[in-house]
Amino acid sequence: MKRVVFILILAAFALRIADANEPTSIVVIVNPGSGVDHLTRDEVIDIFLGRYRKLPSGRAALPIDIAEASAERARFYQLLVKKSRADMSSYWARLVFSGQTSPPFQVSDAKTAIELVQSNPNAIAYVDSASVSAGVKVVLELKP
Amino acid sequence: MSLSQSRRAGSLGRGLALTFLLGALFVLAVTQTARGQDLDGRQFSVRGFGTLAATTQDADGLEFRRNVGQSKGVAAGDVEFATDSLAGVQFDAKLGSHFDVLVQGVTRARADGDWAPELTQAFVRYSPDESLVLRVGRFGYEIYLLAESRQVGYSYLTVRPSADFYGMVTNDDIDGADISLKLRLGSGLVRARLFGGRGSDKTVFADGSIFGGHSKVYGGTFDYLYRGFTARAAYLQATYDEELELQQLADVLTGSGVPASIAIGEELRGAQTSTGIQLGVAYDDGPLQAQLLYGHILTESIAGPNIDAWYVQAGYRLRAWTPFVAAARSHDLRDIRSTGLPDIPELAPINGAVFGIQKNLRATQHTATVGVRWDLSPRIDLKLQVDFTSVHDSSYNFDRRAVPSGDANMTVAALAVDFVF
Repeated sequence: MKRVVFILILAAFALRIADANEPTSIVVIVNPGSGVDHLTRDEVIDIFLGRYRKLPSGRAALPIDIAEASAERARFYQLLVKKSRADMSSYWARLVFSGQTSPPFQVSDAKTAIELVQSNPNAIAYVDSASVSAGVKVVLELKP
Repeated sequence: MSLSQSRRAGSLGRGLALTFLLGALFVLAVTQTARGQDLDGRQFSVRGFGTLAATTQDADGLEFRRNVGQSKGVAAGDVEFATDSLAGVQFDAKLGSHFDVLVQGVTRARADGDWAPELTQAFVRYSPDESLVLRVGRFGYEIYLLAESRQVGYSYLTVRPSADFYGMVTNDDIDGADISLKLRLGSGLVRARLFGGRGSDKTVFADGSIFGGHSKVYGGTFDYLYRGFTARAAYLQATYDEELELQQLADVLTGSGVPASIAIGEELRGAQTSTGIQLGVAYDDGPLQAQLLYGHILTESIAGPNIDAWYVQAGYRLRAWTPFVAAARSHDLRDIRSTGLPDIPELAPINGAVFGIQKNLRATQHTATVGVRWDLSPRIDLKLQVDFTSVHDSSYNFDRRAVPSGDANMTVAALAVDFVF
């Protein structure tokens, strides 16, 4: 019996470790006053890739990128468009140097991104789902 | 300018270019402090790009050129840095949420052999709404489907835009205005753009002479974007200012009394107009990039090209490596026309001029390309590319053989480092 309990405890511990290593999803967040409840993947692609920066509510969309070296940013673009950091850098070079548009506003970390979204109804950002706090609304979840 | 003068200028120019590249790298070092922004729309930034490339080829008597605006090509067995190397710097200042000013300068091997920086973009942009953008000043008319700026090697897979497809385009910026409209259509996006202004381009002929044409340019592009797909239809019309030498030639030809000569002379009278159409579809999703382009240039006289061109390219990223293949074909739609004048020494200058104009615009060749891009970092790549070109009757490359025979095979290899900051 002791052996069974020990195995169960060990299994639970192992599952817990596995669960902790399971990558969490990335969520796209907006200000609750943005007038937006949900965004499609296509709309988020258009906003973050500089194609069409307007929310369905008619507001201008101000996308926010987290620092280039951050894990959130790498995961966001991998989940959204299956692009690496180098791919995205190359993509922006196309648009920037042909004078078309600029890349998203960049902040140093997810905390700053959340603060900006909380204070600006046009801002839109992405964060790890575990980082979501009050004062923002999740409009799209990108699961691994 | 003679060929030797041109080559001396090229050597001097490479020194200037190196200085410029080092300057650009210096800006790279300080750019993080030279960039400031806030979410309300005020922003200024300094960015740059560059390519340092070594290019060689193996066809004796031919000189490979990136486009017909280059005064010097790569001779067989030589290693040339001027063909594919260039550098540029861009300054962008947002003046509130609706206006911004952008200035961009580029140094590269120019038609006169010089490397003095040129202003390639300088415009004021007004965008009252995401759906509408107006620009006034100097800007490019984007024709390269997956990389609108042909000069930024880092933004595309190959070392250079296809010489077969884009070799006739030496300058793609105009001084004028454009308007862009964007509209969501279902899950996709429609983007339309109209532009007009004054353009200029320079073509260098094998004897070292330079034809500099100024033109009124207008046209438009129509794009449909859906996820990884982009489809584009583009139209361009360029009406060149009257050239005195062409008008003098037209007078002689129309006064000859020979029907074929009169017909050519009548077409050369007045301003010359070339029209271009481009249709393209591109797929850029995840690791796969592919594109298929068709281009057509038509000129209603012998003074401009009449060309059909195709280009297909595909690449697939495997971690940091992206091997790619491409194929391109360009061919002339018209045969070289004769004046019908007798082949006698007295008329040789006229017959020679008519033949020479047409010969300098020939563009029949095709190329198969293989290469690989290695992304060293999110700002720097290294590329190796080999082009296998079959030349039939083409002015893209200088033909310096004792007896130019038209047909030739040429293998062009290039190693390039691209960077952006």
